[in-house]
Amino acid sequence: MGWAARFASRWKYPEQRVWFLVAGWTVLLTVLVAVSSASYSSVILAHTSVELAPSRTVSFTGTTATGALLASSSVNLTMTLTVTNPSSRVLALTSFAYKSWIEDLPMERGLPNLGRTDQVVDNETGTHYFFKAYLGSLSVLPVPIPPKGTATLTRSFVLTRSSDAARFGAVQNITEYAAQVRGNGTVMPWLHWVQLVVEVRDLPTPGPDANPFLSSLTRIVLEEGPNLG
Amino acid sequence: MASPRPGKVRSIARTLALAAVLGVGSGYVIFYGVFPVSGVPASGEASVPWMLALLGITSILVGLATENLSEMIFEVFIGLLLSGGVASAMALSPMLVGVVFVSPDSVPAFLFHYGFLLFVLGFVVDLVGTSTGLALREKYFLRRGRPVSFGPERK
Repeated sequence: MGWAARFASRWKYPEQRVWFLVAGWTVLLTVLVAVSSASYSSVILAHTSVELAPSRTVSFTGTTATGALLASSSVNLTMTLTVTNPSSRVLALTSFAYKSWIEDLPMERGLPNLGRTDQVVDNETGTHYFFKAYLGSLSVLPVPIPPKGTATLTRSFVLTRSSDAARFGAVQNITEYAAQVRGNGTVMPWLHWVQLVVEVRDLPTPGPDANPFLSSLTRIVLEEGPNLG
Repeated sequence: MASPRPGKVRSIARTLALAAVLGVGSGYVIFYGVFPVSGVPASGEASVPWMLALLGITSILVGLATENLSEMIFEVFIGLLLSGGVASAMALSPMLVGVVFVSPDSVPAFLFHYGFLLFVLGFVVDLVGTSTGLALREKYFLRRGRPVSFGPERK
C-alpha cells in the first residue's frame, strides 16, 4: 500500500475526504493571499521609501574677468542624481525632467529685461524674479537600482548662443549686470527642479488597457526642488 | 434560557467556516483582478481563466462540504461580504510593515469601484459552483454511514 493510499485510508468517509480537500484548498488560497500581499506591500514600500538626492553645479566658461558672459561663452549645468532604494524590489531609473532658474537681478531693480518672462517668488526676504535658463526632459538607458542599493546618473547640459540664443541672451544680460553691480557675474542664485521616473523592473508591465493606477503602481515619480512653472 | 442544540451550533459553525473559504477565494480574485501585477502569477493583465478556475474550484469544494440548500445560500451571501473584507485587508497589508499610504477607509470604496464586476463574477460563480457541488454531493459522493474501502475487499 502506497503512502497515498495509507493516508487516504485514514479518511474513511466521503465527508471526511471532502473536508480534507477543502482544508488543503484553503491552505493554498491562504498562501496565494500571503504571497500577493507581501508582493504588494514591497511595491508600496518602494514607493514610500525610495529617495532622490540630487546635486547640481553651474559653471561658466569663456567669461570676462568679472564673470560676464561673452557671445562665445557657455554655461554648463551638471546634474548628479543619486537614488537610494531601501526596498526589496529591483528598480531602474528611466527618465527625468529638469528646470533651472537664475535670479533676474536686472528685473528686480526695475531695469529693462529684454522682454523676457520671469517667474515670481515671494518669500520672507521679499519678491524675487527668476528666469528659466534650462528646461528639458529625456529618457535614458535604464539605470538599474538593486534592492537595498543606490544608483547615480550624471548628465550635463550646455547653454550657448548657438544652442538657444534667447535664453543665452537673457543669462548673459543677467551676468553682465551682476558683474557690474556685484563684481562677479557667475555668483548668482539658482533654483533647480527635477522630476525622476523610476520603474519597478521585477513586475510585469501593465497592458495598454490597464487602469492608470496600475501603471502608477509600477512607476515611482520622485521630485525635488520648487517647480516655478 | 435553553442552550442551542449541538446540531444547530455545528451547522452555524460549518456555514461560517465554508463562507470564510468562499470569502478568501473571492477576495483573492478581486485583489488579483484589480492588482494583477502583484498577484500570483504576476501579470500585466488579470487572467480570466485563472480567476474562473479559482472561483470554480473553491465554490465546488464548498458545495461538496455543504449539507443543504439553506446553508449554501447563507454561505454565498456571507462569503460575498467576507470577500470584500479579504480584498480590503490585502490592499491594506502594507500597514503591517508600517506604511500608511492612503486613508484606510477609502480602500473598500476603491476596490468596490474598480472590482465591482469581480464582485458580481465571484457571487455568480460561487452560486453556480456551490449549487453544482451540492448536487454532486447529493447524487454521487455521499453515502452516509458506509465507509469507503481502500484496497481489496475482505471476504
